[in-house]
Amino acid sequence: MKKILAVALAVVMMFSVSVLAFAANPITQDTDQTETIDVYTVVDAADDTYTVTVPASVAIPWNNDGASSGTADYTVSCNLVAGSTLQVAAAANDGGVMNTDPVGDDTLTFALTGTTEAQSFSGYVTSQTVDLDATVSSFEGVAVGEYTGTMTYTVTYTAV
Amino acid sequence: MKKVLSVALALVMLFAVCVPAFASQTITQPGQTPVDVVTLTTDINGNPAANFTVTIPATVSIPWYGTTGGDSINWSYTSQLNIGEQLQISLDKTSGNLTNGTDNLPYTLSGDAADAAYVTTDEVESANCSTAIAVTGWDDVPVGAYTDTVTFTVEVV
Amino acid sequence: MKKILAVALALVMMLAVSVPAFAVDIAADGGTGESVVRTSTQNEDGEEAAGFTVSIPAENIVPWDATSTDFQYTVTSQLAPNKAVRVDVDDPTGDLLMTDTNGLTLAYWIQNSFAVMDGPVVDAQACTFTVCVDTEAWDAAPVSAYSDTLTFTASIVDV
Repeated sequence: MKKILAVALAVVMMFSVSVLAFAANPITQDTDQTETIDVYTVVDAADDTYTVTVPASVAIPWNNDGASSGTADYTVSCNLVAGSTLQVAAAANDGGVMNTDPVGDDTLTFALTGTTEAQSFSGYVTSQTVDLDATVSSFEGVAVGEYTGTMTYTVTYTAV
Repeated sequence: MKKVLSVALALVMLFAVCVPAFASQTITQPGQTPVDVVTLTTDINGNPAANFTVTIPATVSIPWYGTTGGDSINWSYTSQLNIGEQLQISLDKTSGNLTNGTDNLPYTLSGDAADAAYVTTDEVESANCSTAIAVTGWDDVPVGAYTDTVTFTVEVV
Repeated sequence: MKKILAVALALVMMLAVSVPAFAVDIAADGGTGESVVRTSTQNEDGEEAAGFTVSIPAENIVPWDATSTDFQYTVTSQLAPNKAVRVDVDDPTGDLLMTDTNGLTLAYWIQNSFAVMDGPVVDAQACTFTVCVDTEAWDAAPVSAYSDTLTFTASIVDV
């Protein structure tokens, strides 16, 4: 019984070895007793993922003495196949004009400051924050109130 | 039951800590996402931004017999108020007596804040104002220092 | 030079510190501020306003044989509190003698030679002084035109 099992096991082992022998250079009594093979995964752009986190709104404190800013930072995480890219851009709408509701006689204007140029990302990125602010340079001569403007974050994804 | 309650409490506390994290939005698809940019009516320290200053003279000196062109209390103001607000400046009297404790010199006030309370017309405004003061009876009293106090009151209306 | 600069700087700092005393700022809703109105004792030309006028007659005629002759002058004043005008009428030579062109003399004396006004503010208050000549002096004097000069002295006194 033991001999049968041993033979069966040897046969199984021979088959196992023989499967590998189909893909790589065979090892024979005449070759080196070791051989290497590459093991790799196969992916494509369909596996790309990304997340861009932006503020729900940006609040700018009033400043009677000069400029004031609100944080408009955004954070990027992505896992992109080589060759895929992600681009994030931010811009002030309508020149940054800010009005009250209802619209009154006074307006304010904000501008984006900090890292204002579009940023590109690729590969594996973990929570990279881009510094960006919305800044009002002067509140002089304007009645105090809640003035609202709009900025737009644009996310562009290019697959490999 | 106790374990259920403690877990629920832990979750509530966790959400409370996480509240600031909810003030953001997540983008996972390409496209444009508009975000409101809003000014606060408080400054960076949380103090109300609306402000004003009314400047009045500490003393007004009137030469004996008055000034040929008239005498006045000259004052000024500057304001940057909340939308819809105005400044109202009023005086505690429209006439009175300058006195040295024994004798009196009657006077009347007219002009800004005297005829009626002075109310600004815009939330953001600066102006120089003048309240005329007319003194009579110069010949009837000994020459000396006669005084009275005029009180200004400022309110946001 | 350093000392001059130091003094100038000290003066500038003093003026800077003193500026807030010239104005009162009201910056709170419902806030109040006081402005004190005060008269000056000088008029708009910078001259002291307190003053007085004593109006005296140019001539004072004593009729022949008049043993007493009244003369009037008026005073108008506006002075500081507790002050009044005093007027003294005197013969500056002190001899109380009227003389004629020949050197003859006629003795006289003055009654009510001074007056103090009622108070700091009087309007044309009438004052009287009397030139008295005794009968004996008249009887002994040759008829002639006798005269003397009287001095009015005004001063401010406490009352």
